[in-house]
Amino acid sequence: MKKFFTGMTFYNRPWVWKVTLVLALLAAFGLRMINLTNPPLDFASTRQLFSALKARGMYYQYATNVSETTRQLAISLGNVGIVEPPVMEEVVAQTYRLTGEHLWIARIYSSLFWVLGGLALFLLIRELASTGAAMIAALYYLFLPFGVIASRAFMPDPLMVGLICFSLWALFRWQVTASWKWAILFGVFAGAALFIKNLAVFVIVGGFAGVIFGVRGLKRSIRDLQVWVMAILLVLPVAIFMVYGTLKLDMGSQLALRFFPNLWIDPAFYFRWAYTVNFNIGWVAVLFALFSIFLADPKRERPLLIGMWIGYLLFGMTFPYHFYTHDYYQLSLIPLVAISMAPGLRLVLNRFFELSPGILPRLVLVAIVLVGVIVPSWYSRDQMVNTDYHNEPAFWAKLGDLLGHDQSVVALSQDYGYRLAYWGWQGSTNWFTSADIGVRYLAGQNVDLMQQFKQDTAGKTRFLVTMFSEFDKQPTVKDLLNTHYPILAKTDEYIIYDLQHPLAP
Amino acid sequence: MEKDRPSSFFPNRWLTTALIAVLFLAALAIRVYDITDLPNDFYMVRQYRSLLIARGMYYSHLSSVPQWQRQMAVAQWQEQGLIEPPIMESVTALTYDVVGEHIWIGRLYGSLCWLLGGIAILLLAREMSMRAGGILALAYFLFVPFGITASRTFMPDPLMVAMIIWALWGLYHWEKQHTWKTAILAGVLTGLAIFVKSVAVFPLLGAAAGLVISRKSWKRILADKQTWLVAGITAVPSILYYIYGLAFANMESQFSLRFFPSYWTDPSFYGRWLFMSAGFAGFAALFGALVGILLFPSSGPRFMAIGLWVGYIIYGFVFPYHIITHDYYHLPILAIVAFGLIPLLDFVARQLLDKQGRLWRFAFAGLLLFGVGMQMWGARNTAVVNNYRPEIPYWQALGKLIGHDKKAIEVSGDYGSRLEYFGWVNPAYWPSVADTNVRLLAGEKQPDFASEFAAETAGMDLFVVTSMPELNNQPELRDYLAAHFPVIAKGDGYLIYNLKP
Repeated sequence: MKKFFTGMTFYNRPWVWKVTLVLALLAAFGLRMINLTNPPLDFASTRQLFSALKARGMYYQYATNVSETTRQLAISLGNVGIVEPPVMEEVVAQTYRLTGEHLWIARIYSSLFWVLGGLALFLLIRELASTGAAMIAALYYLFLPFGVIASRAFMPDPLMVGLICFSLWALFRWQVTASWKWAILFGVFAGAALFIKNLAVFVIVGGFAGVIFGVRGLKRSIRDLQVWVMAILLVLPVAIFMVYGTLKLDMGSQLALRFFPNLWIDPAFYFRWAYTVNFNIGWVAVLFALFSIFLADPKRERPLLIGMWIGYLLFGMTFPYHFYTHDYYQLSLIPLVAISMAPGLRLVLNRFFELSPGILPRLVLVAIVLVGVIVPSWYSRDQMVNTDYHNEPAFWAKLGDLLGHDQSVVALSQDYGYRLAYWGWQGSTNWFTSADIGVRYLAGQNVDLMQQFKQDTAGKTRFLVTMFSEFDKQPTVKDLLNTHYPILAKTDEYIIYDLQHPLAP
Repeated sequence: MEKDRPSSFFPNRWLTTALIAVLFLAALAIRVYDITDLPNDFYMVRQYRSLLIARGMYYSHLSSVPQWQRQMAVAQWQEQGLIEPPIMESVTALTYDVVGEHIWIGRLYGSLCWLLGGIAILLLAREMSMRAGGILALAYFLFVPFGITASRTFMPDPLMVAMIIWALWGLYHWEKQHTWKTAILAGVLTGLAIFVKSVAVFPLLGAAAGLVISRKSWKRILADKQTWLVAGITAVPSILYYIYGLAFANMESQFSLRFFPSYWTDPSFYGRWLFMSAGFAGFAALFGALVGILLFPSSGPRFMAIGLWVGYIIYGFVFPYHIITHDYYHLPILAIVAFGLIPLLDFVARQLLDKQGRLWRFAFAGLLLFGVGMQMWGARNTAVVNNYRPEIPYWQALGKLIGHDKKAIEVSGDYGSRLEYFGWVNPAYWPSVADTNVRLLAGEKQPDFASEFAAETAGMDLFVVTSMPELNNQPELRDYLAAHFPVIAKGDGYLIYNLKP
């Protein structure tokens, strides 16, 4: 027995890490299945409902068991615009054809993609540092509460992060082997990641550039056909999509209101960025990851790490506003921190094995690691159970019925009116929130509220308010509606104004 | 041998000293930021208790105030009862004698005590030849968000935490030197820590036990006269204090409603405890400190760390209700985590600093200071959001309205402390639902409303309500008051019933 345990390192008994890894991946997937049927309002609800509407619209294109009116309405409501290629939405819509429409199906796919990314991450770090370091870093990636909550969301980001992990693994394998197989695999994975969501470009190209400049050398790389193939595979899918999208799908509008270089000179931007990182990822982990770069092998490991971090910094500088207002912009930082931790973890574990060759310390270490998994898992589980949105669909369905599904509505409503559209089957034109107005001011635009009101309500029949705090923040609009339009219905949860029959002056 | 060489941040001693000085100055700066605001941000009941005690002590020999005010200040002090020795309050009252009464003085002392604890971390790390780890653990201790908030308070806890670390240093120093002088020092420091606040006994007893057990010989433990001396000196101050408290200061009442073993069988108790401790200490830091146990190079500090954790766990079992409802009960864990982080951080720092050139060392220090800056920014944002200063005229006006000589009973959200402190009224306290629930949990019976009301309001002139939510939590009381007594004043957040119409 003693011999069994003392030899129980990942090096001596490979089956141990294989079993442990499988158990970790299964546990991580299982954790994400808690409260699976909860409506997707727990994280970036606007983005999730955007995908939900789109997937439903795609599904109804094939649906034969619904009325033509419903089918057309679903397709119309699903026409919410194009941000990224609707891969996740297409996969989910095709699954709906087999299973019927269930929003939680998307959670399963997202979770699966994220967890599979953990496998690639493990394989990468195992080669980069050590098996023990890989296991702990993978556990960090799989069980960090922010990652758990975000990775079960119906949005392209979990798939993008999963593909980033596979890309980086292939990149490092190519760095080590210089083989065509890994060059092509990197190109395929990285191209797919960028295609799914082009924001993957920063970390992937950063890492790629790090390897090119720090390991291979620029001159040698320019003459290397493999590098050119990798670059072409990386860029080609997203380039084709961008050209097609800009020409055919009016994607140009998606690029507006994203780049705010004026924030670069505002110190508060950097503090907010750091605060967002601290809140979601944790400073201790990030600092440990950054310190670990110093511990990495300068030739073999450090170029990739530094390249990825530079890519991440450029990402932040390119999207300064989104970086501190949209949590999910930080998702690619999770694998980045996990990989960067590896050199430090390797050293700490080596030191531990050097100091503690006996059975008991190893069992204690296993217990500590288990505590390190159980505590954040339980925390995530609490978050998933305690934030329950099962009552939301009925409310919005009732509101949709009240509006009649065929009205022309302007709405100051949650998630740009997507809740109303999804569960209420009622489309609407979104009225600006104060944040929307703020971002336009930040971009140097001037918003004339009266003019905007006139423009947005032209030809509309109803003005719906379900965000009362927002309504209070816009006294001009509130006064305008209250003094000029009759109220058709009013409760503690909504007000419906009749735009068709203005009050007499 | 490379590994035995003491680690340090910079080869130049002055640069290392400058880095440490920057950390201490920054720690003080973030703690004095907005320090003149009222102490309502963290366990105000506990802080106002100290304020009332300190003011009572100060006013007891102040001749420049009216007689009634002096008498009331002293009465309010003496009504607080004895829990811990009023060390912080005495020091604050003495300072009032010199500079006058300022609410922020107690908070300043709390902050300074915490910083003193930081010095002990450095000494402890130096004793273990882990200076670089000590500097990083110091940065953690000074800038962990919960520590920043809780250490700028007027309570005995910041001093207790500082003394715990000093006692750890004393114990380790004694174990290394093993002289009579160091034994006396260890005993004095450990005894003082427990004297300041008795709950320090849990981690310190654990650490001391771990330290002597690490000798791995019963003979070396039991036959060592110095061990008995340390134990004796440690115990004496607290024993004398408790004898005094029980004999002369009705201290036994302080031991009631604290021990609830029924929680032990409730799984949610463990979950809440774990979340709170991980949340306050920081999950990664907590995890790192546990790993740190395995990285101590010798059994002495390793067993001390184990003892600290065992002591903390026993502490939680002894006070299960308080550990999941009172944030500040978790403060000792910050000292425990800081201690556990030293070997881990030292190892990482040693690897970094030994291998890199001057530029990288500065980059490393820059990263550390960047992390510190971020924590300061977060703490500053929390502090700046709140401004409690407008409460002073509110409570003063309410006190005047009630009348300083009136006998009043109060439904409040703060045990009446703000009305006492600013309003110069000495109200009796009507139990809240939470208070009643604790009594029920302790096996006491639900009091009969009519007899309780009669007993509590006997001889009272007014029934003052300063917490409407609490009144609404007690519909029987609310309806009874409304039905039987006239309202003589009503305003923003208060309601005054005349009990003697």
